[in-house]
Amino acid sequence: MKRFLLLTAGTVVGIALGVWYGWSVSPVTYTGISPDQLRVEYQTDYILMVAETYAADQDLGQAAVRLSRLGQADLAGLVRQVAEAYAAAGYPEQDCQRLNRLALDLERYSILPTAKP
Amino acid sequence: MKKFLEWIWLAVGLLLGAALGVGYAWVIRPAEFRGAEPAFLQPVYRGEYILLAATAYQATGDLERARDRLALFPELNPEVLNSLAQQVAAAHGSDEAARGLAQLSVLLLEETPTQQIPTATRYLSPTVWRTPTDPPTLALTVPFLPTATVQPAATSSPTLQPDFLLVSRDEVCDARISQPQIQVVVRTPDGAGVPGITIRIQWEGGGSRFVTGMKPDIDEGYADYEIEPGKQYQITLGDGLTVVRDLMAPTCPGSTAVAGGGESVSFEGSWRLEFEMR
Repeated sequence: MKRFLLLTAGTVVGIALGVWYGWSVSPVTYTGISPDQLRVEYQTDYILMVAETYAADQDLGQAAVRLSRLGQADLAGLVRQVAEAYAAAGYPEQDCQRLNRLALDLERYSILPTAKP
Repeated sequence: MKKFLEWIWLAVGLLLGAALGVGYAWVIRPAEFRGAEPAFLQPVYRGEYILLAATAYQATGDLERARDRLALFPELNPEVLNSLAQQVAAAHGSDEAARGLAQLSVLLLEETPTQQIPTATRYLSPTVWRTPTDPPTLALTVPFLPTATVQPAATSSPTLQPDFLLVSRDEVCDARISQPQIQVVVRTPDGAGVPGITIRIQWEGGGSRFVTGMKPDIDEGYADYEIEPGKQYQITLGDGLTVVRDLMAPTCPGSTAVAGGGESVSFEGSWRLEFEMR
């Protein structure tokens, strides 16, 4: 009887430790991801990079294709959302302007991507 | 001894439970995926992310931000950036990206390898630029650079003015250069070398690209390309308005090959072209 109790107690404690280890200490990591699986802060920085690049090269088509990697249909809305979040968080005015400019241009033009990798 | 054997059952239970718990946490119900870091992107997207960081740097000139973005890829170092710039240039990718990468590699090379990044950035968590002790192992694929049609097309009528001015074109007769080269130096009006300028080189039936800044020990604005004797080359810089044609390895008068009056052997020399960036 004592053996059974010890085995059960050990198993219960072991399960708890194992779950804690598997969730907190060494959780499953995902590799080979696409941009839409990036953490939110990296997705927003990705959008900012696209806006920064667009501000210089004015290549709206390329900006749209890059943004489409984030898996959202409403690209203008996505950029607008980030612009608003940046403005609310007090990020530099220039960043917000670049984002707003990109959002505005995306709203203004219809984009027809012709190629994907 | 009997008591010890009883405690074995506890250990067996712990091991069994731990295995079950880990299996549950890893396989049956993994922790909620809240997104990953850019270092875990597929190679093609990783390459694009890095190129995007380089073009964004090219657009904004914000080195601190670019450094933070590149620091997300621990295996990246100036050497790898250089190589990526070359790959992008050779793959006829974006000039801006190649230029940005080359400039970043030069700037980062100039810095102390283990310099701490200022913590003032609010975009990403502060990180440290690392120079790995092992050879770089970053698997990068030069991404396909997308094109898209925008309707209506933006109309503009830019004034056509070359960005680069050829200021000198000299033959280089240096017998120590074993293979003829086209050497290009791009400088600003105040004489500073400009890294990251993509030069297109074409010959009958072929073409390639090379980028300034890959040999900063010679000059930050320097680049060279080995050419074949007897073949004609043409190089184009930047916007395509600066073109130098009819470049063929010049024949240089040889120095006396054998001391004491031996026969003079001519050899194929190189070209050195200097441009001023406007």
